[in-house]
Amino acid sequence: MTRFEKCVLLLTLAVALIVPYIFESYALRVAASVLYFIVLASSWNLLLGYAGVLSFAHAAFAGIGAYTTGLLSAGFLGHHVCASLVQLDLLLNAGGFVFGGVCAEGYSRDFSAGVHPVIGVFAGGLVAAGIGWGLGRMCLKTRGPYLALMTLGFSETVRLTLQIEHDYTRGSLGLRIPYLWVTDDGLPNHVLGYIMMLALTVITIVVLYRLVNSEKGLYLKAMREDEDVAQVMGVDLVKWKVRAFVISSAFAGFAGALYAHLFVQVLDPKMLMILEMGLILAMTIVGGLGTLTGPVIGALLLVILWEFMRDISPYAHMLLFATLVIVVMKFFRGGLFGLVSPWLKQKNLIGKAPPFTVE
Amino acid sequence: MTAVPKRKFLSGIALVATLALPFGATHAGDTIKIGGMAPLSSPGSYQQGPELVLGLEWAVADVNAAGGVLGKQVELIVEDTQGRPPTGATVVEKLITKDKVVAAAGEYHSSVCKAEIEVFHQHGIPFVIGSCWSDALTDAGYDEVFRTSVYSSKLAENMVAVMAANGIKKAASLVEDTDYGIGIAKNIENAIKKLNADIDFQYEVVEKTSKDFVPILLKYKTQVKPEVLIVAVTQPGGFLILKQAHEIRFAPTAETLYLDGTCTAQNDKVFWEAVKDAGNYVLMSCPYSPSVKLTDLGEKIKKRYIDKFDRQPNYLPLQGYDAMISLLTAIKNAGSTDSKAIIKALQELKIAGTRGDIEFSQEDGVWHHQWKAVPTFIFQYTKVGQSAGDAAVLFPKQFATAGIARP
Amino acid sequence: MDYYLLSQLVNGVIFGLIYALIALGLTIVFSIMRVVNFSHGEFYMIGGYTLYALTAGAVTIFSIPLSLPTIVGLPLAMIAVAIFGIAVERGLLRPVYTVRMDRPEEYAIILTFGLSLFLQYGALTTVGPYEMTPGSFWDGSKHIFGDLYLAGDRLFAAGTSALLIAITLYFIYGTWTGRALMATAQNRVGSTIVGINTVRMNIIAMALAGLLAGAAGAAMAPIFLVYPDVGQIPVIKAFVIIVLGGMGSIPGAVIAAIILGLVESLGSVYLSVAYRDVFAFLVLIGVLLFRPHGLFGQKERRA
Repeated sequence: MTRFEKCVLLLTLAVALIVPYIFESYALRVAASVLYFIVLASSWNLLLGYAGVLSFAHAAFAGIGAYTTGLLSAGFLGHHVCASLVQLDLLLNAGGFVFGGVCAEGYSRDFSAGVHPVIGVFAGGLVAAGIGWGLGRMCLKTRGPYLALMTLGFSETVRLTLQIEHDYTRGSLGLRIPYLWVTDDGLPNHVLGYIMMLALTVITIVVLYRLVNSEKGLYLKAMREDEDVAQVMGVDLVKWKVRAFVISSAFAGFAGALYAHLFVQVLDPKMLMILEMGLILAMTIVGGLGTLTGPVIGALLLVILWEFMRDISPYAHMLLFATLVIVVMKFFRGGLFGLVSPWLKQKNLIGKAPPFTVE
Repeated sequence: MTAVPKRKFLSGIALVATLALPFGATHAGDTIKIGGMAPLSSPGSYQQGPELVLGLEWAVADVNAAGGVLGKQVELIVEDTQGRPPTGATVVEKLITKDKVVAAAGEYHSSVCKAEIEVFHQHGIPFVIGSCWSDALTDAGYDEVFRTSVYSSKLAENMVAVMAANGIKKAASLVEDTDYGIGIAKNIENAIKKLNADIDFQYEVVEKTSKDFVPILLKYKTQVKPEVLIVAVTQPGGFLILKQAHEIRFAPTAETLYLDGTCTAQNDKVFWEAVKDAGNYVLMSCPYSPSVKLTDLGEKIKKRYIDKFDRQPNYLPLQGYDAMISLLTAIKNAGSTDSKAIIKALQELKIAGTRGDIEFSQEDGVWHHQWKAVPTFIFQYTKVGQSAGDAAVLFPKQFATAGIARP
Repeated sequence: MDYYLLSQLVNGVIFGLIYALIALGLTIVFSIMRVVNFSHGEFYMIGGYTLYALTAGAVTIFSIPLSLPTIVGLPLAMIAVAIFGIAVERGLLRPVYTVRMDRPEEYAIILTFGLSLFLQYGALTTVGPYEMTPGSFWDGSKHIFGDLYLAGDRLFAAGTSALLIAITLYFIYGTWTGRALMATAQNRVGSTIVGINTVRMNIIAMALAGLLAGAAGAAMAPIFLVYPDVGQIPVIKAFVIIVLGGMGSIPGAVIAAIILGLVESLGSVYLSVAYRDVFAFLVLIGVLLFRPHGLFGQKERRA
């Protein structure tokens, strides 16, 4: 990565740090949603832009993360887990130590105890990663449209199951989950929430950067360019695709879980709808597939556009995004970043042109 | 290429900051801002939402015409909650923190109300529910929340009373997958126990955006054979269920009655256009009907609606009006826009609404800050194309005009 | 005779025929163009809206509301969607074969996915979320047998599907153009060599898909109403069907559709009514795992 790119990213980080001091509650929410989408778009980009895997299951993994932590902190899962921990404490004669460390009362209105949200967030990410591994091992032998359809089927199955089993998940009624720390007056601290989302975003970008520029990144890029050649050269396609899938799902799960506890607070299976997947797709494509800065730009731009379009109608933004996706795919498939990169390359500001261009 | 020059860096930040200014700016003004929430687009019931908003707007207009509140005009800020709980929570947070409303009224979907009362409670802002019927909303015991509309357990008790009075022994229900739908089902079960009625009751939860209900209706028709089918699914799924039930000759028939628990059948123009013949003999459980006598204020509002739209209103404009007029009168009585003062004024409120004299109970449980004496009725259409005002009144006994008719 | 099971099966077969009509267009486009048209559901939607516009007096010409009889609206809706399909091929999908690109399949998926969102939200913005009810094709409920009554419109839709499927099969197997289509599906390069204009085959494929999807959308409109995302659920069932039947096999799609209809009905009876829509996805994942080329599909040449 060139100095220019580093400067741009650091500039963005600086602005991101100043944000909580300029904006108040509502705008801070919007800023946090930008960060949320940056994480989702970047991790989805790892799949399509670097490994060449088109997956429609990304929003579902974010939802899995959110519902895992939701069910653990405010749902039946947490209830059962904490009840077992009480038993464990008695067994170990630990005087409530284990229970107290993991669970707490007062989180859920339907159950007496639930797991602490912080543990829930980690669980959310891990569960998403685990399911990602399972799904990946099952699906990633297939390619192209078959894979896309399988991930679509998976996403819809999870969504419908969450909705139908409303006895456990509260389905469309909404699962109310606690804020990350239950403060005394119950008011959520949005500044702190924003900072946490920022931390997650930075971690995501750094990890992806290290991954993409490492030897493993080379394997991924090789697969993206030509799978058959890569296989001939000794790259185990399924293994690396699965690894990328696991990492991608993990980030989606963490983001989904964290964002849920900080800004969503009422879980609804609708967050797993294909519409949400469409948002992630649009942000990545419009920003620039196959680059690290592309999804960041895409998420930022599209969320800002979304806010401006709110006055027109609750869904005018989707029409705009869909148009942008079509225009980008038809005319300049490198997205916005791809659009400016030849100019930047000319000025020797960046190293290489992004992929998905027509040679 | 050297590092980005300082000038560009600073101007970059300035650019971003100016882009952000619209978000940071707050309004200054000399109006009293009140928030109003309703479903105005899908997947919310966008046919019902505007009716509720009408009631809210007319109450505000009447109060402003009489001089406003505390010497200032009232400004109503209406937001679309789309029938989605997360949207409701976000919208309310925006109303409170960005628009700085002193109080709010409205909302039609119980699950959205559920998300909204949490935000109102967090900020301590008073909220008078427009038309969310779930018991849980008042049962939560939040001081900020008041309700002038009907509530689920009362409707359920009415339905069970009518069934018991007519010797019905078996009932089946389709409810929507929301707080309202599932709440009604559970309340009917509770009411059966409470009234000691000998009724075999079962229900199935359906997705309210679903389109094909024939499989479950076939199951009820051939396996369950209930004497009444209770449907608690809002628009537009509710009309589809009626049409499909009629198509497979399940209900309303001589063997099986059809009871609309949502009262959307009372929108007679929309109803008959959508269901045509299927709507004959349909029963509905409603908070109001054109044939029922209202208060003087109620008759005034009813006449205003008829003059404007050339048709009878349903209960929503009246419920909306009642919610808003209670709120604004309380602010007037409190003499200030301080939340706690408004809440106290609401607790002590006694005014004549559109459907009766409104006051809020201080009891715990579902009656907390609830208008206990809110009227509810059960009607039945006896002719195709009948207007809502001509429908027969079956319950309560003192208003009843006929017994249950069967085809 | 167990009336309940029988009535569910009848409903299942009716749905199977209707699903087949929707899936047929999708499988034709995939076989010939190797494109999974994610906006196929919106073709269906446009068919429904066109029927409504032409027959329910929503569109006016010289201030006279256009209120054609519903049955006339059906072929007109078909033609409208066919024209739209040709436009999509020309405008958006042409580069898949005329331009050398790295990943044409993903390109087509993303593009049609974007198109799908565009059409849905376009309809939402211009017409609104309201469900429109066009007139009936065959009004009233019809007696099937015993105690089973079904809506005339459902029977009409099933009958129309059967008829159109038969015509399409005849076209594919019994005419020269149909054979040319099959040839293109089997081997694109080979077809070009023997002189088939494969670009024209693409156009025919999209037009055919448009005709069939438009017919399905219009036929189902009186039952399921018309609204912006009406195509979402049918198209997902269509995906399942073409995978189950084998991508590239046209009779496979028809048989798979009937099987899906029956699976859904039997599942409703013996397992759970609520999970009806989920069965389709479970079938999809199952088939893709164990027999990715479906029941009748050709094993994909990966080259």
